[in-house]
Amino acid sequence: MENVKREFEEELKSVKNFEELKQLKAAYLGKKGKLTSLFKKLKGLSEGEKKEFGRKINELKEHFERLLEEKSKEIFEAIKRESIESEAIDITLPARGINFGSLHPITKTIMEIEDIFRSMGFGVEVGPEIELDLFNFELLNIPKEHPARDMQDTFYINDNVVLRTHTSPTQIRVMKRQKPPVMFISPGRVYRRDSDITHSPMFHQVEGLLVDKNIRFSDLKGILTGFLKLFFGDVKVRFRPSYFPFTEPSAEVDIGCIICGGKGCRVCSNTGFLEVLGCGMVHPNVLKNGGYDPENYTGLAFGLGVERFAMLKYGIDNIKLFFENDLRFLEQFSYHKGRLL
Amino acid sequence: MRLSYRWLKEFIDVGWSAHEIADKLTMAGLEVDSVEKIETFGSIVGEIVDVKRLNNLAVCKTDVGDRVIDIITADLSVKKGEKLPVVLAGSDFKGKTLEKKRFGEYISEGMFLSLEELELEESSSELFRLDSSFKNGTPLETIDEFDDFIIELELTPNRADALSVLGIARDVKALSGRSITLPEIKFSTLDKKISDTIDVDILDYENCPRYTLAVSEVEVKPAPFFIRMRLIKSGIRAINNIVDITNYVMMALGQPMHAFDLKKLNGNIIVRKAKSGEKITALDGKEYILDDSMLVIADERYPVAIAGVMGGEFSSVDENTKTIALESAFFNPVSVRLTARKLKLHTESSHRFERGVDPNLCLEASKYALTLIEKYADGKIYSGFIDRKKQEFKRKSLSVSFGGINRLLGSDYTSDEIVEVLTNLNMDVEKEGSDRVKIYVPTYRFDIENEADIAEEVARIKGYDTIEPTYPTVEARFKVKDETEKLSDEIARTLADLGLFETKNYSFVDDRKLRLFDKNVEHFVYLKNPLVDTQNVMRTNLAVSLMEALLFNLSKGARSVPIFEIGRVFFKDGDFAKEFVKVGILLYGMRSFNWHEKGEYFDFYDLKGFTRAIGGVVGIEPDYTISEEAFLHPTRSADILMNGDKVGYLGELHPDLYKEYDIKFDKKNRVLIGEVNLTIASSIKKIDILYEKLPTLPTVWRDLAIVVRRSVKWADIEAEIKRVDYVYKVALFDVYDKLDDKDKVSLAFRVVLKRDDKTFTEEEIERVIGEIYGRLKAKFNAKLRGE
Repeated sequence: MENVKREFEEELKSVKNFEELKQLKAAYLGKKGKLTSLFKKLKGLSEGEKKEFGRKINELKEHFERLLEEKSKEIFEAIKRESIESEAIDITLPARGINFGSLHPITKTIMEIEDIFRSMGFGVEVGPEIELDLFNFELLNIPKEHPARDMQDTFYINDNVVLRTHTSPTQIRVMKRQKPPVMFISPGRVYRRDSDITHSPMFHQVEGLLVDKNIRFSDLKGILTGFLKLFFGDVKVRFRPSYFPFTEPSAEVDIGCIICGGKGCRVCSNTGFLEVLGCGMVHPNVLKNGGYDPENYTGLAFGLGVERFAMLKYGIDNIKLFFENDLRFLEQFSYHKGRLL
Repeated sequence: MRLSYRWLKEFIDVGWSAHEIADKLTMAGLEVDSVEKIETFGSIVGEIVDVKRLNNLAVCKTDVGDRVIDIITADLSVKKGEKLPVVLAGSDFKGKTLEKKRFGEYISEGMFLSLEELELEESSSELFRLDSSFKNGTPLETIDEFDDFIIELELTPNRADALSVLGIARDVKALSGRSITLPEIKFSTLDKKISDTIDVDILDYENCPRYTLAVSEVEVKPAPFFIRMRLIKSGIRAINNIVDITNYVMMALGQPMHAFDLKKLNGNIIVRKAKSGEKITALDGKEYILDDSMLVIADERYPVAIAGVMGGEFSSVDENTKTIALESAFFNPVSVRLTARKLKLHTESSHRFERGVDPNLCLEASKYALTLIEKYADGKIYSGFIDRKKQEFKRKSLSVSFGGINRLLGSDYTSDEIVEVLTNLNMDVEKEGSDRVKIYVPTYRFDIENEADIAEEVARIKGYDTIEPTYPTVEARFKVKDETEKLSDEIARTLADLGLFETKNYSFVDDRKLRLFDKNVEHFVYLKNPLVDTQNVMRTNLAVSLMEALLFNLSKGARSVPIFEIGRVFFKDGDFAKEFVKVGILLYGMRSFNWHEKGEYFDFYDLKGFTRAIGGVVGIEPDYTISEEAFLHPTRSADILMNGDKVGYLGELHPDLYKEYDIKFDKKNRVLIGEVNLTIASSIKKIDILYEKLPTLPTVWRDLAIVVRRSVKWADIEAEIKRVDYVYKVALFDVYDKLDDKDKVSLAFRVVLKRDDKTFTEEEIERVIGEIYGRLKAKFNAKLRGE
C-alpha cells in the first residue's frame, strides 16, 4: 500500500495538463485502477484486519482525490495565467486620439491676469482698437501739441482716428456710459509705430480702473502689490514717482528682479529691479472728461504690458517670437509635446 | 539728459555719492538710467615738444613727465606745445597690452587718445586736447574733471524744470533740506549802451512773450578746459568759447541761448512769423523752408534764427567775430514744438522750450553768460539789456487742503511735514484756514496745477514707500464679462484642447494680399503712416493673416499646420471703423502621423468638425449651406449658419490661390480655412438645454445601405428619414464611392427606433424600415445596396 501511495505521488508530480490528470486518475481510481485493485485483497482477511485495511484504503483514496483536486486547480490557474500572458500589450505605445494644442502665451497670460483681478472684484470691459484721437489722447489729458505724444508713436487712419496706442481710452468710454462706482480691467491689442528688438508695432495691454468715493493712492498700492505677488510669487514691490498725463500722482511699479533675485543682471540692467507697470490716481481732468465730479470721486488706474509679463513668466527673450507664430515656439505652451513632426 | 556729478556738487553737496544721488532721484521721480564713472584707461598728460612729418603720419616728440618719447599719430592737426592724453607702450589699454610700433626709423612708444577712445563721444574726428596748465606725466584720473561720474537721467516730459544742473540740484535740495549755492554773477560794463547799438521789435508776443538781448565785444577762442569737459560729459560738442558758454549756461540753468555775430546782422532784430516759403540755412548746414506758422528771429532782411529751435548759419559766431548779440528769450512751448516737429529738427533748445523754460530766467541766465564771457572770452560788455515783454510772469497760486492731500494719498502727513516739503520745493505757503493753505508755485514748474499735483510733490519727496498699502471697500458690482470676450476665451480653450495651436498675427496686412480674400476695397481701413507697405491696411478677415502664419511655418519646415486665431477685423464706417471679433482656423498638411493612423491629410470634414465644436461652445448646432465665397474651392466650401444667420464659412482654398502663395496644389494635401464671426455668434440665442423624458422601453436599431446619385445631399436624406414615425436617431457609418457606376455612391447608416407605448414587434420594425426605403426611393431614387 505504501508503494501505491509513493508511486501515485511520484506520477502526479509529472502531470502537466488535464488529459494527463484524467489518465492518472483512471490508473489509480478507475475500475481497474491500482487503488481499486487493492480492495480485492480485502477478501482474504479477517474481520478485524478487513476493517483496519478498508479504513486505510479509504483514507488513501480520499488523499488521492484531494491531491487530484489540488492539481486540477493548479493546472487551471496555470492555463489562465498563460492565456493572460499571451494578451500582453505594450502600454508605452502612444495614446490614441487626444492631443492638446496650445493657447498662445499672451492669451494664457491675459487669462491669468484676469483671474486675479476678477477675484478682487474687477469686471472685464473691452474697447475698440481703432479709436478716436479724442478718446486715445485729448480726453486723457493729452492735447494735440503735448510733448507726451512723443512718448507714443502713433499709427493714424486719418487726422481724427488712430490705432489706439494704449488701452486707456476704455477708461473714458466706460465712465461715459456708466455711473460710479466703476471697477474693471480691460485687456487688448494696442499699436505703436515702433519696431526693433524690444518693440513690436502691435502688443497687448491690460488697463485697470477703479473710481468711487474715497479711493486713495494707498489703495492703488494695496491692489497692485497683491496682484504682483499673486502673479510673480513673493517678490519685492516698489512704487516710484513717474508721469502720465492722465494720472496724478503717477507711479511706475518695479518688482525685485526675478532672474537674479535683486543682485543685478543683464535683464534688470544691474538695477536689481524690473519695471512692470505704470499707474496713478486718475487725473481730475480725466474724471471730468468721463462725466464724473472730481470733487466727489477719486480713482485709481493702471496699465501693464502683457508681453513683458509673459516674457518674464516664461523666460522669453525676444518680443518678435509672439507674432511670428512659429509652431516650434507655440508648441512649447502645450503639455502634449512632439505631435507636430 | 547726461550731467556731471562734480558739476552738480558745485550747486549742492550733501555728501551723497553719485550712486546714492541716483537712487534718491529715481525714487523721487527723476529716473536715473545709469551712473558711469569716467575711465581714463591709464592715460597721462603728454606735451608735444616737436612734430615731424613722416609721409602721412606725424612723429611727435612728447614729454611725458619723466622722459621724452616718440609717438606717431595719423592725426596731422597736432601742433607743438599741445597737451594730449597719452597711453604708454607696455601699459594695459582696455584689456590689451599696448605694444611699441615701428614706423621706418621711428618707434612709437605710446598712443594719443581721442574722446572716442576715452569713451566720452560716439565718434571723434581728431585727438583730444588737454589744458596747457596740466603738468606733464600727470595721470588723467587725478585731474578734477576726469575724477567724475556721468549721471544719465530719463526725464518725463512734465519735468522741464529738471533739464539743467540747477534743476536737478533743486530736487536734491528738496530731498535733503540743504541749500543751493548759485554760481557767482559779476561783470563790468562799458560806457557804450546797447540801446545805441541795436533794437528789438516783437511782432508776435503770443509766441514770443519775452525777448532779451545783451551785447559784448569778444575774442573767439577755445573755451577753458572745464567748460569743454562738462559739455562733453553732457553729450554736447565743444565748438568755441562763445558757443560753448551759451551751451554751458543752458546746461547749468536751463535757459537755451543764442549768440549772433552783430556785424552779420542787417540792422535791428524783429521777432515775427516766417513768410510762407521763406528759407533759412541753419547751423547744421541744412536749408529749411519755413511756413507762416513758424516763428523766426529776423534782421531787417532775412530770418537769422528759427525761434527756439536753431540759429542761422549766416549770422553765426566764427573765429573772426568781434562783437556778439546774446539772445535769451521765452518762446511759447506749443509754437516751438509745432515748428520743431514740422521741420523734423529736434535740438537741446527746442527740447527745453517745448516743455517750458522759466520766463523769469532770461536775464539771470544772460548775466551768468556775460560773467563767463568777460572771464573766458575777454568780454567787453555794453551797458544795459534789451528786455521786451508785455507782462510780468507771476507765480501761479493754488489753494489746497492738508486733509485733501492725505485723503487722496491715504497718508497721514502732518501739516508741518507738508509745509516743509513745499517750502523746500521753493513754494511759498500762506495759511488760509486750519486745513487750507495758499501755495505760490515757482514759474519754472509748468506741471503743477491742482491739489493732486501738490499731493504728488509731497508724496514723491517724502517717498512713496512712506504710504502704507491698503485695500478699498467697493460696493459689489456683479458685472459679467462682455459676451463676445467670454465666448472668445471658451472657444480658444476648446480649440486648443482639440489640438489646434493659437496664433496671434498683426492686425495690419498687405492690401495686395487682402484683395485676394476681399474684393470690397471700399470698406478697407488704410493706415496713413504704415511702418512698411506690407502692413498698410487693417485686415477684414483672418484668412489673410492665417495664410501668412502658414507660409512662415512652411518656410521653417513644418509638415502639419493646425492653427487658429481669435482677433478683430475692421471695416470702414464713414470716417470711423466697425470692428468684429472672429475666430479663424487654418488646417494644412498631416492630420496625424502615428502608429494607428498613417499620414492622413486634413480635409474638409476635419475643419467642419472644428466649426461644429465652435457651434457647441456657442450653444447651437450649426447648419451648412453651399458657399459663394470667391476665395474658396467652389465645390468644396460651405457657409456656416446659426439660427439661419450666416456667421462664417469654411472650405478649401480656391485652387487659383495656391500659385499666389507658391504652395503646391496637391491632390490630397489642401489648405483649409474657416472663420466664424463671434460678435454675431455671441448675440445668437442659444438653445437652452431642457430635460426630456427618457425612453421607457429599450430602443431598437437596424443598419441599412442605399445607393444614390452623388449629387444627393446626405443632410436631405437624413431629414427625410427623420420624418418617419418612431425614428429616434440616424447615424451614417459608411460612404462608399468606388462603385462601378461612377455617378453613384453607397451610404450605410444605422437607424435607431423608439416607441414608448409598447415593445416593437418584428413586423412593426419591418414596416418602419419599409417606409424609410419607400420615402428614399420616391424622393431620391435610392436603391437598396445590391438591388
